[in-house]
Amino acid sequence: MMPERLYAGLLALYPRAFRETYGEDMLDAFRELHRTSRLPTVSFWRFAIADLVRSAYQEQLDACRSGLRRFVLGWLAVCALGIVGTGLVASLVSWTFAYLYHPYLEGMQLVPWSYGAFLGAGLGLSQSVALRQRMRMALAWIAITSASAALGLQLVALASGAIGPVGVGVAMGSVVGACQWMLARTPIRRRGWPVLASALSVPIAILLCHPWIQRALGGMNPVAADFHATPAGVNYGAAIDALMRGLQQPRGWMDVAVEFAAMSTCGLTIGAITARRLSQEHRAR
Amino acid sequence: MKLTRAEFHVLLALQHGSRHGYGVMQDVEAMSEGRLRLGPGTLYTAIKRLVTGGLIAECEADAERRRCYRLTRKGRIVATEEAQQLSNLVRVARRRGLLPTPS
Repeated sequence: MMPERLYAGLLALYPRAFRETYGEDMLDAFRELHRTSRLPTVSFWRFAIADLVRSAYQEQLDACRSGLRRFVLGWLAVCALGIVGTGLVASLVSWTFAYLYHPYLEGMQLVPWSYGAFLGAGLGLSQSVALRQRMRMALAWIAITSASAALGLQLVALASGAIGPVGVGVAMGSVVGACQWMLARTPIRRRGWPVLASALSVPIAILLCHPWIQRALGGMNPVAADFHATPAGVNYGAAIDALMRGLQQPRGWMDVAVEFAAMSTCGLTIGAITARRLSQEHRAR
Repeated sequence: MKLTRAEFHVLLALQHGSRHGYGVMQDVEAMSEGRLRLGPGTLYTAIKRLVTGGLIAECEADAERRRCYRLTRKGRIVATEEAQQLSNLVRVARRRGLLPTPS
């Protein structure tokens, strides 16, 4: 009984689909093989484990090359690169504005949620291209991603000092991922509702949170208008400060690294939350 | 479809009728006079590929509810072609003196 249990446990090395189709039969074959084998115990196990590891490696490789696993890996890459790419575009735009300085821009203030909305729109666009969505669905997808990223970045700004750039990425990614996941599991005919709800919820949430944020931050806005420096006295948390600086106009490699860490973690979190649901749709197609 | 050594042996084992997994393992070992022993992993990896390629098909389970496999028409054609190629290779090897000529 013990060898069978051990072998059944080792079957976990195979991809799930393979295990579900052939796992029972493999266990039957192993049972017979073990019962009739004349090999010494050590030789028998050496043969069985070598066979199992070799074939499991082959199956895992096949699973990566085709179908679902390939989709999931591609999706994670799209999510991470989509949001990192949008962040880089944001930095470039901000550099251009700083270069073409105009007094009109003096006093202009950017809050995290507006940046979040921009990042979300870029991410949603790259995702909907990757998913080859139709126009109506793509618009809904981009809208909900933008709205949830706005909300996510605004909310994580509160705790950013404590959780660091990776924490910011995970927290913001969880908000966006949860919204996308809900949209993906809503029947196609009813998808207007979550979009409308999120579009309304963002301004409401920001309005509700605003006094709290203001109190927490001592009445200061996080990012200065001149894109160069945060006004003295702003205590928005080191991580979000560096992140916002990195997103807008990185001062050095450290700012870029903070931006990259936060955004790629955010993208991977979103991908991890939504991959399963979307892969089911992909398989159904 | 390019066959591996294990896959070709599975096709050969199914040439004389349907077999379940362990039956195929026994047949392969007997055919190769103990020189090739398939473990469950190698066997079912080969079976999966052959089923996907349409070379073998599942048939009704036996009395012990074990899934059986049988050779398809396509599988027979592919196995024959592979055997023909191997036979040609053996002929060349004989001509070059690598193998003794049968008396």
